Amino acid sequence: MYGYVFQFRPVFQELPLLLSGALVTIHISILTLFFSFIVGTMGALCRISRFRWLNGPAKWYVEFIRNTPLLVQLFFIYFGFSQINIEVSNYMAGLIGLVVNNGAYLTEIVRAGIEAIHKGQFEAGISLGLSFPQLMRYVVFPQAFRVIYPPLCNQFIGIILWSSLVSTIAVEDLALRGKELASTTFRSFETYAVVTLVYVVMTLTISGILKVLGQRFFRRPA
Amino acid sequence: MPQYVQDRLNLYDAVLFLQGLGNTVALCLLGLGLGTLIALFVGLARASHFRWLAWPAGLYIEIIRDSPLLMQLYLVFFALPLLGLQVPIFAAGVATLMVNSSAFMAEIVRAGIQSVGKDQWDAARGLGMGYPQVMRWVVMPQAFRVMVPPGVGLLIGLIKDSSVISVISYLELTRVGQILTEKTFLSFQVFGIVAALYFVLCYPLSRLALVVERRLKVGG
Amino acid sequence: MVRVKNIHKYFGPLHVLNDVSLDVSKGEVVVIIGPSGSGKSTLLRCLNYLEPVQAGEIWIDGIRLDHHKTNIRAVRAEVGIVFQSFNLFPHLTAIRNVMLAPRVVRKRPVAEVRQEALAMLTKVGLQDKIDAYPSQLSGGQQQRVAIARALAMQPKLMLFDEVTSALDPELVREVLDVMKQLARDGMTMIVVTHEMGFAQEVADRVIFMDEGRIVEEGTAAELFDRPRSQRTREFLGKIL
Repeated sequence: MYGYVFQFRPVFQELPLLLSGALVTIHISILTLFFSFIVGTMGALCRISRFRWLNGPAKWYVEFIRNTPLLVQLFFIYFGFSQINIEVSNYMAGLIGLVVNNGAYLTEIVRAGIEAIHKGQFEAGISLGLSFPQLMRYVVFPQAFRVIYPPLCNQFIGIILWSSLVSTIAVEDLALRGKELASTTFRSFETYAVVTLVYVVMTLTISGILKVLGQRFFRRPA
Repeated sequence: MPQYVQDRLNLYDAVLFLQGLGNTVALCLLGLGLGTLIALFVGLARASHFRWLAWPAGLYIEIIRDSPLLMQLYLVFFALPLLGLQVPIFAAGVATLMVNSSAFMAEIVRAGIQSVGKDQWDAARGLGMGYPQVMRWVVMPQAFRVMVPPGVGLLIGLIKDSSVISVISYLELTRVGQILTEKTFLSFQVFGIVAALYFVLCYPLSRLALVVERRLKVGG
Repeated sequence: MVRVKNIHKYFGPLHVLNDVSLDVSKGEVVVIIGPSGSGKSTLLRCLNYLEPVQAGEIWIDGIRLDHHKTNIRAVRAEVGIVFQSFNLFPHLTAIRNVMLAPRVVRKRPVAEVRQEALAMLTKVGLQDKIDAYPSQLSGGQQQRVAIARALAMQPKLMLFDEVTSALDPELVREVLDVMKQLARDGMTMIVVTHEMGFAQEVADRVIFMDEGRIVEEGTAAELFDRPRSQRTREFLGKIL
């Protein structure tokens, strides 16, 4: 620490650059949540299915993804595409990696939500003559969503934080902008301190908003 | 394996994979071990009735849980030289995992402590035990049982998360994957092997966590 | 042995103990009765400083209970308390439950402590259950272990807080028998209970509490046969 003087000014001067990166982070996080929710719903339907050929692969998809690192999955997809000469943008590779990864976690979240619903609800729906999709659409999902919402919010916060790894495959998100700024200002510590702070503020704000929204959604008693 | 793969990936590379695997395990065990030590204090502070202890502990936990591990790694990596410490990258990696896991572990410790009922405190204090004695002999042994499944979960998480340490060029498993990809251009195969090795580490642990959790539920 | 002088205790706006005074001499067995919420359990907990009081003084064996940690710890080691819900340590066997406090509070050698713990458990009739975990014991057995655990500290005073209330009727007797034996051995005891038969048989003095106050006190015969206050009469009418 001898003689080291913290200088945050050069970092703050480039704040717009960081914020443009933050927008990319939010952007890719929302798309990830959206697509992995679709993947997760399909995965959950496979997981609760009686058919082995649906159930088995879904199970091993979840197990394999949840027991390997996101970063390795990202590299696998990013470098893999180039190995087989398919051209995708870095952003696209990052998005696919994040969706494949979070799809597995959402499969488990959605499944837990569906399984939390009382068996009588299924029986009542079937006895009314609802088809399977109708049963899901009108009876199960509206109730499951209440159960799913809190872990879904946590997952979204996780997506924002872990999306920082796409900076390693040159997607220009907040983390990569931070890295650029660190190398131009030569103020690495200060830069990363500010970038970390931006992440913290971002996640706290968003989880606050999601909490308020949740209270609005679910005002009617359970 | 097809011939063209065998031509490019040889026995020496297999040794490199194992070396990476060993380094990953070393990183995680040291990181979690030291992290747990810190977490014991932070968790106790967090569970404390004194606000001036509970509040800073909460802030520490919250900041770490709400920021990316990658940023924590950069901060530690660049902060250590500022503190006048010239440390090997291994130490920077361990320090990062230590700080990161300490926050998550502190929450596990807190939850464990709070799972032990007030009755137990009454009984122990009624026998004349002081706070450290109650903690040591009555609360912690019971809290420990509750802490094992989430603790194993944390270790699994840490093994996966430690792949981030590859960013500072420490030769752990993911870094080995990068090096061999650059050398052989066989990214599917190389990262497939890397992923499989992580899976071999993590999957048995996640089964273990499940079994322990079930046994605890049955035991009451 | 025990001197309580004008204590007051509040839980928020609730006046739980209102100007309570009480003297108990060595070897005396005092039974406290009263409706639930009358403050009798709180009074016991205050005697062991598990709850602080807001006003008044408590003296145990010549030591004033106040905010001094050393005093509190010293007094607690001299005062045994047994709870309604047993509160055994579930991770320890019966004998380890009994041994814990003498070992870590009194810091006495294990072999010696083990001998005594064995004697205590024999005294409460559980010599064949020493290695059982609390979950393997019946309620009555657990409560007897809890009594042995308190006795192992060789207390000068024992507090019993509705120790039979959580027990099935057929298990109440085995616990009461242990307490009666203890009374015969000359232990100073303060017992909060709903067991009027126990009060009649062993109490030197019975105290009736209601709404945080001591309403009246006397020998069991005086209180049960010729209650002076209307409230005592009403309470006894309901319970006897």
